[in-house]
Amino acid sequence: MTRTKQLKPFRSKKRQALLVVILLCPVFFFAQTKYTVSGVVKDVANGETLLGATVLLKGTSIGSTTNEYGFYSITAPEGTYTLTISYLGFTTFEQNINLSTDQKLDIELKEDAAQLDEVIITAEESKKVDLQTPQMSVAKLSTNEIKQIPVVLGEVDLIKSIQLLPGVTNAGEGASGFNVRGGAEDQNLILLDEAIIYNASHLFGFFSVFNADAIKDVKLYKGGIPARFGGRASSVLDIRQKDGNSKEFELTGGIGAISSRLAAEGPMFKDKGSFLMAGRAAYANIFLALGGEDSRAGFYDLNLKTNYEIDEKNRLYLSGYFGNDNFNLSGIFTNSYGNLSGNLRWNHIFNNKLFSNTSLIYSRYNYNLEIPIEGIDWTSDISNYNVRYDLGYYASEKLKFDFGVNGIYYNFNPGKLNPLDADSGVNPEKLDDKFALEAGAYAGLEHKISDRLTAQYGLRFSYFNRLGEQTLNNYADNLPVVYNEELGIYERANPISSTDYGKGKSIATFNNLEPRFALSFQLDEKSSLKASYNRMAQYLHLISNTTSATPLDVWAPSGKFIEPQIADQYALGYFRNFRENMFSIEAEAYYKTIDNRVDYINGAELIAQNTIETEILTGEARAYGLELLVRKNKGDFTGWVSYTLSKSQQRTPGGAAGGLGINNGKWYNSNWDRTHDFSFTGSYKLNEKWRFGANLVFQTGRPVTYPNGQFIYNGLSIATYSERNADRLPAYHRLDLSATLTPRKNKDRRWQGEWVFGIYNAYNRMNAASISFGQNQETGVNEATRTSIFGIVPSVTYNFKF
Amino acid sequence: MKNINFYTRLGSLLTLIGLLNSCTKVIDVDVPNGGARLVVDASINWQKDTSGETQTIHLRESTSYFNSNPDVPVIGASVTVTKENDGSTFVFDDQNNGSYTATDFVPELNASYTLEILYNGNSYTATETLIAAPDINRIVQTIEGSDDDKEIQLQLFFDDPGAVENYYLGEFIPSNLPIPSLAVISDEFTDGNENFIENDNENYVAGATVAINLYGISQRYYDYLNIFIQQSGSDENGPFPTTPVQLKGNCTNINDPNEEVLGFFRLGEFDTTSYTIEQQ
Repeated sequence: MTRTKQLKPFRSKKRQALLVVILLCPVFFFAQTKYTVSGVVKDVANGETLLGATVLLKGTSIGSTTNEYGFYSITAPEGTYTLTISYLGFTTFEQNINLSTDQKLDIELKEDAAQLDEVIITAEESKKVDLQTPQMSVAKLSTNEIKQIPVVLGEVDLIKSIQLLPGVTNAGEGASGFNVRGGAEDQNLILLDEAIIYNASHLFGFFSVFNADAIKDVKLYKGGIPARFGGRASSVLDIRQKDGNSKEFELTGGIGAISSRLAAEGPMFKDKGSFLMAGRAAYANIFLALGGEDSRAGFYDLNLKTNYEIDEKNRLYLSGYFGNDNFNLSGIFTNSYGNLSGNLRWNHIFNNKLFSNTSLIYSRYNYNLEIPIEGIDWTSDISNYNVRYDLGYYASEKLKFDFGVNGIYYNFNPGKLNPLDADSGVNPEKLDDKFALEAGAYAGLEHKISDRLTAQYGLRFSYFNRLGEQTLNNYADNLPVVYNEELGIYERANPISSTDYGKGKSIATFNNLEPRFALSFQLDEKSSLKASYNRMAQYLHLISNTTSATPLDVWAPSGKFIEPQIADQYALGYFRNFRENMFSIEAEAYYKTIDNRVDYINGAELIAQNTIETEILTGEARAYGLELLVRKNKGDFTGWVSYTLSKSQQRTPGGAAGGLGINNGKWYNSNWDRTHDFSFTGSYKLNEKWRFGANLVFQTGRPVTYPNGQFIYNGLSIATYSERNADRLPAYHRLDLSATLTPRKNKDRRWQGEWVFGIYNAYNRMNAASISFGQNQETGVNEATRTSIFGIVPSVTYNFKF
Repeated sequence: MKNINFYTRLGSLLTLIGLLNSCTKVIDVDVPNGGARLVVDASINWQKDTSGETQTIHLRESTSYFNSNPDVPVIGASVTVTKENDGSTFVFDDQNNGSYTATDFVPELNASYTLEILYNGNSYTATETLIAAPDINRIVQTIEGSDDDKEIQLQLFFDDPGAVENYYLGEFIPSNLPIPSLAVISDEFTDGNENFIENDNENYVAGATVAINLYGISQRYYDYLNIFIQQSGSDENGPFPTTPVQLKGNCTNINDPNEEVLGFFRLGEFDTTSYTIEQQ
């Protein structure tokens, strides 16, 4: 059986396509004599390309920003101009150009004179809000900023840092993943050099997998997501690794309480390229004392990157990541999981207006658990092959196109159970492998309609084909879950037959048109209004009914029983720079709906479950909120205040299965709903020697379900519960402090060292990670037990650069 | 995964790593009160090689969660159980303390029985099948964990019949503790093999005796107990708790199907043994 499904077309697809064609038309009608200047912007110190640098013809509104590979292209009428290039933390570059012919201009920017000290960052000109581009809802942090934020045990953490920005939360300390604008953890597309990362956490979520030493640029798209991204409903976290110093050999590293890091980079291929190798390993023995002598817990990461310039128009990049977590709890069980990714890219510049990149990407996530006492050896993994071809066409000063195609082939192994030894009472068991192909084609256009009005139109077409070989059950009336009217519960249906799908045979196909639209209207020199709409289709679902995802959770592709998640998001924002760009304000409102959100019936068994369809019902989710971000960008004191007022809910009616639905079909708060989320992050430079940092965080407590009674049954007192997530944990708040000491003697030597002293949760707030209800084993009396993860945690880290 | 609680394992690990500092504390919490509801604690337990003619059913009312007197008996109800294959009805007499007892009960494996309760003008009913239990092979005592974090673990071994889905309940009643422990498993991954149900308890001490019962149970009761045990608080869910849900049993009010009736009516054969914890 093959089915093709079309999901709620966005009004009329035809009309939409027509609209795009009309909008694209202007490009074919321009006829003035114009010339193009193009090139690559780099850092003079290490040859790293600079992403997102602002390139402008002074005195005009003609400008652009460099792309992911540092490339820019500007087209303007013949004339004499001053080309200015500015970038965070760098001295603005200016050069007069006579645009009477097409020209190539590669530029190397110098770090600000005031910033000889490597680790000190004072935000500069280009950190002010970009008023002109329609792109909104982007959270951007530089690695330097991330490195300054006080963190648990001094372990620099990209994902924890991002949570200090508005619209981003997580399920709590020690919880993996993050939530963007009320979206679920599985709705974030996490890309490391374009490779999909399926689990971004180490030690079950205490730390994230990204080693800041290897990272160049981090961007989180919370809304207004460009057409080139697809496959996740809520956000895109686009992380780019450093290319490696192409000027000189350099060693950086650090010794911390949890892990040590070492990175080497330098030129290679006779200055035609460079390399970067960065490693990080946690000390297993930190945990020895805690779990007894046989227990170990540790993780490591390895980031690799190299690039080679074939000629002026062609460059190759090869990058890879490998990371793993290992646990051994006194021989009771051993557990390991990790990500592996590799990416080969080829940049080709066709001409000064047309840039292309081809990527071949592989990524994989695997999980292993051994429980000797039960005789169990459990493994699961997900891997994918991904091909992308992306083009950027800088048509004119008013029009910039990007378009491309990509295809991903997935292989899911949801689980394989083996007896660990001959004595094991376990029978070997293999859950069905699953296969799928996801393809996308997109076109986007940035159109400067007038000096004040710029629009971005995009359209993505996505296609998903769930493939055999697999045998799937059939259920009466096609209902894997049925409502038991008499007992008022949802139950698993018994299969009535099954269908064999042959190898490569299509089980179900889906396709979606995903329009993206953004507009910016500049009110005056200092402020602008922006609006955006995006539709996103998500074909993979993380099957998890715990408060936060665990490394054990498996991904399930859409197919015969699960439809793709479809998100629609509307956002409106006001942006303003003031006091000569010393301060900026970003205020945004958003409204998001998600269709086909999977929810779990009461008592769902998800682990080692071959027929996930009998455990779930499909519902919808919605989220809305207001975000406010005020940043101070210049001076000895920099930082930001962020506040989010939001709501995130879901609802799962019974639908065809009958009954009212989960939670009686009523809307209920999602686990990551936070009414108020406030954070302050500041960095103060006292002098060349000392710098101080602080975070203050306040959040409404996580929604939880408290018991509304107890009853005695079989000699036990049991809590009874009613509505899901109707109560809340106590409010979450904490203060973190850090001090960085840069010895004065650094100045005159090659070895650069610094000490970072940190205190996490300085006033030792016992924040509740969870509150559980149960009978005291010794007294039989009911009690509520609060679990707190981190009290006050001091730390010291030493970083060096050579 | 049925008899293997992965989350518990992960949970204990996390508690271990969270740990440089993590801590648990008993606190005061304001909880909602959903009002008193009828609780049907109706387990027909038939010990192997006995007549099983004396059976007791308990009816109570639920209370607010932190009420220190949770045992609120329901008196004055009429309780009967009907054996469906021959229509015989057994009357459970009101003992005026929330207990209702029959002395002429006839248990029969795989027979279907219907419970009927008349109370306050409402009629409550539930139907279940009496499920067979295997023999207990042996009890094995092991140690879980090491050093400071040791727990005594008991494993209850029995043979699972092959080629049929089975569900089991193990009940462990220690002499030195006020409450029993329950554990359920299915044979999904261990069909036809010698299976075991494990029970670990940090409060087990040498010399204490543990009464151990092994029941055969229905799939529906297994599903119920699975949630019941998870939500009883005896299970450390650690930082990966599932959202607790309403625990719906199999008893319904015919006059008002929306009324929440707590508890379960079930029938099971059981094998029993007693084990004395040894010095490790």
